[in-house]
Amino acid sequence: MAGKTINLKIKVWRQAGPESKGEFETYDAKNISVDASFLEMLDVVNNQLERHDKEPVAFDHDCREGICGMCGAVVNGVAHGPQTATTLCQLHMRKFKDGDTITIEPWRAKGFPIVKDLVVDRSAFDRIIQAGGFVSVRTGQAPDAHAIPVPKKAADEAMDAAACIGCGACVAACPNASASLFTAAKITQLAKLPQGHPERKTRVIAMVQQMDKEGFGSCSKHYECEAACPKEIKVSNITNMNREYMKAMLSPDV
Amino acid sequence: MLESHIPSGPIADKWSKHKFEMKLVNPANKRKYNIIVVGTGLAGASAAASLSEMGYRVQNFCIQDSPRRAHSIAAQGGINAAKNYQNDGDSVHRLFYDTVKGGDYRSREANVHRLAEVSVNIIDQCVAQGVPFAREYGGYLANRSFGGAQVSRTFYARGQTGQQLLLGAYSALMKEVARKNVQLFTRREMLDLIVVDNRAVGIVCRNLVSGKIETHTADAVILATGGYGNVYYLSTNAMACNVTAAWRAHRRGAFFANPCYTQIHPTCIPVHGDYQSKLTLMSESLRNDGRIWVPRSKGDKRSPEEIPESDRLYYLEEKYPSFGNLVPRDVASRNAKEWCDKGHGVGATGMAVYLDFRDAIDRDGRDVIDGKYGNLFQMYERITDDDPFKLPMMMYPAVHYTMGGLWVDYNLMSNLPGLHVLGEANFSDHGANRLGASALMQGLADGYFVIPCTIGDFLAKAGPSKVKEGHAAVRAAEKEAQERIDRLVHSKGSRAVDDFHRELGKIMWDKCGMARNAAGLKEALQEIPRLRQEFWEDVNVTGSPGTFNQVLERAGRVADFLEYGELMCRDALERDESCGGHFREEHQTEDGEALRNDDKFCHVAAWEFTGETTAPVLHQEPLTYENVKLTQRSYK
Amino acid sequence: MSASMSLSSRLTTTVAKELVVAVSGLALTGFVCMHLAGNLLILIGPEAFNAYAEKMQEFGPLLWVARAGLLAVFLAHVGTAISLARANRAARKSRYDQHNYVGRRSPATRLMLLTGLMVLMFAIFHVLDFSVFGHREGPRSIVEGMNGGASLGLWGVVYSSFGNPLRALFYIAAVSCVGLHLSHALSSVLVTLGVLFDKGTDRAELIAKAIGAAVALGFASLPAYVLVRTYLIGVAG
Ligand SMILES: Cc1cc2nc3c(=O)[nH]c(=O)nc-3n(C[C@H](O)[C@H](O)[C@H](O)COP(=O)(O)OP(=O)(O)OC[C@H]3O[C@@H](n4cnc5c(N)ncnc54)[C@H](O)[C@@H]3O)c2cc1C
Ligand code: HEM
Ligand code: FES
Repeated sequence: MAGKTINLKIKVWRQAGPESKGEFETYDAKNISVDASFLEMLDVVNNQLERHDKEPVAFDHDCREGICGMCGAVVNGVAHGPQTATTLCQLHMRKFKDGDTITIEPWRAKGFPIVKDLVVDRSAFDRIIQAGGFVSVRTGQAPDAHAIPVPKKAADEAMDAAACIGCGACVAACPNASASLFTAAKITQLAKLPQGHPERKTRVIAMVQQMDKEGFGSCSKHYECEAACPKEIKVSNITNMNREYMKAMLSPDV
Repeated sequence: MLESHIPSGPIADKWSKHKFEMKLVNPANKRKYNIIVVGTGLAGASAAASLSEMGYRVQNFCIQDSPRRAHSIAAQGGINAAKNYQNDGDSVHRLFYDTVKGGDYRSREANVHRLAEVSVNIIDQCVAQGVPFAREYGGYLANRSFGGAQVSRTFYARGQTGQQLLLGAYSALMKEVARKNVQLFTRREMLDLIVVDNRAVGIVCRNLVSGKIETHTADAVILATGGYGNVYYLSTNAMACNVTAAWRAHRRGAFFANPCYTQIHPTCIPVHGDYQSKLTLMSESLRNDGRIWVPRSKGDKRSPEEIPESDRLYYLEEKYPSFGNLVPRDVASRNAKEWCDKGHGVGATGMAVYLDFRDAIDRDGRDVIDGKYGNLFQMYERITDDDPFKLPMMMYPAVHYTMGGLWVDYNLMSNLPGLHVLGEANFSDHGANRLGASALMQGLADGYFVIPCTIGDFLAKAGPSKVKEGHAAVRAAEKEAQERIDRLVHSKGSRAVDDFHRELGKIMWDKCGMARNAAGLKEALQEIPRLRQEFWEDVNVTGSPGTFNQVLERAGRVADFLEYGELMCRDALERDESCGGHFREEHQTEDGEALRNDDKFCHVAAWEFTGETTAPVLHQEPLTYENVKLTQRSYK
Repeated sequence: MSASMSLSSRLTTTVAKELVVAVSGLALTGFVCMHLAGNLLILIGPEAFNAYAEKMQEFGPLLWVARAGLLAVFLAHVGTAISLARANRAARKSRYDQHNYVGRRSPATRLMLLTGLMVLMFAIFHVLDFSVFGHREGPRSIVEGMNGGASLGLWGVVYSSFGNPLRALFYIAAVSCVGLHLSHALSSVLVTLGVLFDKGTDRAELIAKAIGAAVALGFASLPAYVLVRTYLIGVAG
């Protein structure tokens, strides 16, 4: 790990609150170590701003290891920036060149109102899960874990879908700001497992309805969500959601 | 004064006996009770969901924008349970025994036994929720082994066990929110506890979006606010992890137990620059297949693949033939430090050891190793730009977990009636060192299975609280919180918040870190108050309090760390022995292992806050061991 | 939450609408393919094509039923597609300064609404042109220098239309839009209908493109044939 550093300009979206008008501002990011993460680069810029008594750029972050789903911004037109399968906090500055200007924007979607600068309100995702992204089992009701064997393939596929971190990059990247990938991943996880079967029909209907209600668009199969997803969740989940939906749509026992 | 309320009787019967003896709240009356749960990690989410299912009305708070982002999400390796699905001799008693021993005989036997008992129910519950644990081809659950145990009892979901368990608890919570029985308050930070007539009856918090100070009252308050590892600035904890909730409760009368117990995790990516904001843990499970070594000769600067077998020192395997690389964390960490201090460390800073997969890859093939650890390898490569398939990983210990926490009795209630503490925020089950895969177990045990039983006993006996929003004590607490914020914002000094945090972290790491001694601790006890004073005089908090203001959020947390760090050092100085993660250099065996002093320190140190200018008072809860014999831990 | 399980609410979600677009789109694709097959008879000659056209007439009232059905399907497709497109636009109120697409998104994908609207306009014109105003025995059915100046029926109408290079080019542009539309639609529809999974995506996209191209080329071959015959070979040849 060499001590190499680069100088950059960042053009970043500043917006004081949900109703305010936002605009871009450009700042220098000097002597940034190439081993720093993207968020650490923002920390450096923010420290500078603080030193000049300016308000630092607000951005969401927490775990900084790519799992909490808190971070995220559109960097040079790409959700979570240029490295595939990588959250913003795991993107490192070695992916940029000295002298680059980096444009940083918040997720933009009707379903994700801007809170401040790069921070958006993703509570719509919670409400989609509230609509049915669970198994209705109360604490204490469960049978022994080995009572129902689950084929390894089904468990693995459920895990693939369950890897979603709920960051919202799929919505941000989708030309329709669709939340289909997020919604479908949860539906798929629970549809793959026997534990999810009793409620699978009402689940898919209710979650899709909620997704619509939150103002997200529909899936036109642009595959941009899959390309942006830091956890490589596949569009196949959407295929699966549609299949579940068809089974439920006309079913008399919903 | 410290009454632990441990039920009498044989250890294996205590919990069932206690469950029978506790008073119950009648089903129809439950909905009359309001319970505040602060935190939505494994402990908080599982508690909030379970209590709501039972009929209590719950208000649930978290700092993040969604409950699903609590720090529990980051746990990688797995969760223990005494299922004995591997038929390798595991049992509730063995898990109990391993945990007490792993904790270096500084935990409460009764609590640990209950933990081991309910561990099996946790797995059942999670599977029923749709948690996609790893499975074998037959469709049954897979297990791996973890440090400090010789059986395979760890359940896992790839390298994302915490995520999957939390999403399970979160989904249960969302189900209850949908029923409108849990009221969710996200982006709220608890700033104070409201205590009236020696009963916790509410909290003060800041709405992080609007900046408004809010008060909430209830019949009981549950804190599940996680650990305080970020007192070190650099740790594997998420950025928002804080001691604020626990510390404020402490200042209102709750005792803080064993604050000096911190766990340093042996396998983390080494520090590489001063811009660095956090350290990244590499799961302990890597030690199942990775071999730890340093060059045999000091200052060997050859690249690792050029160092022949004979020049490699596999120090854990040599020193601990029976546990090898799978010794508990405190032991592994200390040995890494020892070899680096002796000059055998590798990497640019010399503060790293190798974790090498070469032999495992030769033995099992690249695909098998990729299947087991692929995502961890990827994560490592993303951060360091080195490919662990080609070069060994470089690792160094980092602060990871905090065994200390608010003191609780067997019912998980603090000494302040009405205040319950769960998960990493309490001190209860891990003694002086936590075994891998046991924090997830404890968080979920507390939330799913313990508190739902024990809180009923409190409520049934104490009845509803009569304190309402307009109560003078509520208004007073609100005013105090507001004044503190105003003070922070108005100090308009010259130094950034992070500057102070970094400086505090350095003091803590150097003097109250992996190894401690009386002289260093005494210095720290001088330095921290000085730094704290400087903070209040010279901190620069930009922006206004009435808005979304992340600098202000951090400032408040750092202010509390600056008070808390002092208590940690005080406790570390007071505990004049070595045990588990608390290693006092003055007390070690010839082999450099922690040397306990059971005659003088076989107790829980619970500190009482007495005021800002007066010293805290130490209370001791003696620990008695009736089922496990105290011995010098040996992993040889 | 407040999910409604009534049939009507199940049939009006975006996913249900996608299903309407998919099923109607497939029906339209079926029609387009049959239409193409019939039209290719033009290349064989007036007898073959006119006989086919006559045959169609024999269905009488049934033909009108079919036409009404087709119109309904078409309207369902267009109406639902436009309603989705509007909702999708509304889902992103503020636009990105920069939005780079890094996935599989091809121009055909991006232009679905546009190619669809082009097809719509063309379809209206086309129906009016050939069915309403294209009297089979009228003056347009006579091709100069062919059949001794006698009517060539519908074949003649088509032939003389395509003799006009502007019309021919317009037609070619329109069928290219159909081809482009299908080149995305036919793989997309497999996701909508829940049958296309990860591994098949590359192949499905390839096949969709091939079908799209075949349909476009098939239709375009007709004006091309007329133009080549008119301007390069000469009518009689
Ligand atoms: C990188 C990493 C890997 C780990 N791997 C494992 C593992 O493999 N196995 C294992 O057993 N353990 C592991 N652990 C430890 C384990 O993850 C934690 O101890 C455990 O998840 C803590 O859970 P918790 O519910 O107590 O707290 P957390 O999950 O930390 O939740 C705290 C909650 O409290 C809220 N909160 C905190 N302060 C406030 C406040 N002031 N106001 C309002 N809300 C507040 C937060 O928003 C959050 O919702 C790991 C830890 C780390 C750091
Ligand atoms: C010859 C006539 C047409 C055929 C054969 C056809 C066929 C199809 C098919 C098969 C689909 C794929 C559906 C899916 O992805 O599930 C589709 C989608 C679409 N069609 Fe058509 N279509 C025709 C005419 C039109 C017209 C006139 C419009 C005018 C608005 C239109 C607009 C669209 C749009 C916008 C979509 C994409 C919907 C989405 O995925 O969001 N189509 N079409
Ligand atoms: S900060 Fe947690 S995923 Fe980036």
